[in-house]
Amino acid sequence: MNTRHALTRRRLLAALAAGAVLPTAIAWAQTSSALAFPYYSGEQALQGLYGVHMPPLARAFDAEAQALLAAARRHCSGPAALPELREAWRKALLAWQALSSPALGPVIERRSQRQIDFWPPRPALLDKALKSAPQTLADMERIGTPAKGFPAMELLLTGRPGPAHCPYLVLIAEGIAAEATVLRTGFDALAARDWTQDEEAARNAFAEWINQWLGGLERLRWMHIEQPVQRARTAGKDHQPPFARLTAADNLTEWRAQWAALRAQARLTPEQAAQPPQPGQGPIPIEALLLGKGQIVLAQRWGQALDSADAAIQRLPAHASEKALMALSKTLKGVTTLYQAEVAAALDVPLGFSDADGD
Amino acid sequence: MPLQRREILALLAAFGAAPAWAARVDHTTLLAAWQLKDEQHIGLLSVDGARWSIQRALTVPTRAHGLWAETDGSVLAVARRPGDWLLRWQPRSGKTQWHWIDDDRRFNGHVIASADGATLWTTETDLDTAQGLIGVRDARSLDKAAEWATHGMDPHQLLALPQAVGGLPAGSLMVANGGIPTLPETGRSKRALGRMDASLVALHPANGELLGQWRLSDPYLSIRHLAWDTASQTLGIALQAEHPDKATAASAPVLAVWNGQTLRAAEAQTPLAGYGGDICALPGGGFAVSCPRVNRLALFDTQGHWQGAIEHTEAYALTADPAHWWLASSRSQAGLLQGGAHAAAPAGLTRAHGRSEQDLQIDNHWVPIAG
Repeated sequence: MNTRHALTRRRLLAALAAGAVLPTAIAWAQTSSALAFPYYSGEQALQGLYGVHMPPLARAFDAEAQALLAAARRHCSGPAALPELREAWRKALLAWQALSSPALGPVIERRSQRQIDFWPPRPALLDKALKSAPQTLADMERIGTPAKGFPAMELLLTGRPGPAHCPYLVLIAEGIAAEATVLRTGFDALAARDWTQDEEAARNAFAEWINQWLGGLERLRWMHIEQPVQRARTAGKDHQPPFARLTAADNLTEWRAQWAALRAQARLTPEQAAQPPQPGQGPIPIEALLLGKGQIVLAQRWGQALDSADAAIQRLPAHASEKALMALSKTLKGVTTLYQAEVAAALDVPLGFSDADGD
Repeated sequence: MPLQRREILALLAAFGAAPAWAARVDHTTLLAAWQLKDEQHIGLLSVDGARWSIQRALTVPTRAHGLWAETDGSVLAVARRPGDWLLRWQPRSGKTQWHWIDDDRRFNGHVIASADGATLWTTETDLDTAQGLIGVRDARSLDKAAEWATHGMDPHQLLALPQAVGGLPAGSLMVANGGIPTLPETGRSKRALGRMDASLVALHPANGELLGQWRLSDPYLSIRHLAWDTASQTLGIALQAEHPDKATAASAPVLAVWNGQTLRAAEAQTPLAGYGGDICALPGGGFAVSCPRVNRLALFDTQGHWQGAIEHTEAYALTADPAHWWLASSRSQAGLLQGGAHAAAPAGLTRAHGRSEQDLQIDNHWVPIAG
């Protein structure tokens, strides 16, 4: 543990007494390591999320999307190597997953997952789109989403895209880049928002985050990992799971990227564990919210569940067996169950349709 | 207040049931869905007067919701919304037939078959527009043959009218548009409830033509589950309140009735947390709505007038045949409540308990199996 900057309760109270910029009506929760976490309001959590955590992710995705567009143009303007374009596609995809896991704010409002990451792509629709030879992004609006975005580009890059594919490849990249720029602008606007000015908006946004985090986890666990395995199992022998990406390595890399993004909003970093995040100055993960509410034991169990999932996904090989994938899904389900049963309730957030509900 | 035994007996008598405790109840098989430990199942439960037990079971990948018993002994189950699988299971042979939905659609939790068994209808959502659809499917292959608009969002349960009523032909499809906007980006989050638009629609069973559409005056009442009362030719509808104001939601009606002409909410009902889990028409007429959040079974007459409630822990799955009704608890230790026979085959009100210590969490719905 980094103790150099660790704030004990005594030191923080001394800082308060000295007039440090901290809330005056502050409550404290003591962890087993004698580290005190302040109570964080929903507004402060949102400030950490949208003011500090998300903008760099949006900027990173925008940068990678512009790099992808540049790589596509280079590839199509001369004899550029295909691996460079594939690598640019991969980097942009991972930056996209880091931003959109879970889907929040502008990603929801713009339905960006549908716009640039609809899967599975439809080869027949892609062929039809290529034949229609769109020339501009306006032309692309007439093309269905299953023939656009990251999955359609992956399909084209998996083959050997020739000159006939090039205008379309560049248009797909332009679409991703345009979406990334609009998302960056949207997250910049959220970063500037003062959540204390509208209590109802803050309450709704906080509840949306807590709900969407679960949605992001279930998207990874069920849609990306277990459902393809179950589909293959129920389809009979020799059926391969229809995972989102075409190669096992890309799937694994993407799953890890999604998980890392979810984990970053859920678990304290070692630095935060040593020095509690200050309201308004940094991201406040879900674990910190629990500690700030005095839910010490639950926070420990939450941390353990996240660490178990983290270890399971890190040790997964690229060519994992179905059994290993189902085991991973079960471990992730443990996080879901704890979240639904206890964590969300401890944060006073009702879940939209949790597993505890009927229908 | 929950009813006392004396009041329950009087109430049952009023619904046509003879007042006999622990009277004979025929052996019954119920098709149900449940969670056991971390796994989801569908299966057959054997029920007699005092005990119930698992007869056969099949593990399913996610929580099942709507169930349907086919005439050849096979059963259908569909995943809870937003669902991606539809299953046919032959309990005797164990044979299964799976169907995974296309990636731009999701199942909304219910399936029924046409009277001739050749067609299945499933409630679905178009993920692009969030609009409701009826999936018209070939019963043999489970593949989709057509789609019909439900003229609303979030269609949930559907029911084929067993007889003509109010100018609608027998077989008309009655569909409960729950009205809650849902999209894949928001998973199970309920967003934009201010745009709720719940309705009951009647569709022509041959071509999906809209034959009628009815709305309640309160837009925050989600229309979800349906039961047909043959004697009074009335449709009972279980409601779930989505009001932003908790106090209003808590006192909201859990039942509406439709008589072929008008749709109206129950009257003079005691507060039941605004959540109707399941509904059945009682053998003697009237409707029962399970209210798990207040641990009660709510009883209404065919006009939707409040009659009283029976206490039952986490009252949930509910079904009836012409002689009996059965109510599950979503906590198996609490047992099963059964009763409500008509006068010719009197039965009282009995509680059955599981043969094992297994802690089943029985889901929303169950269906009696013939034979």
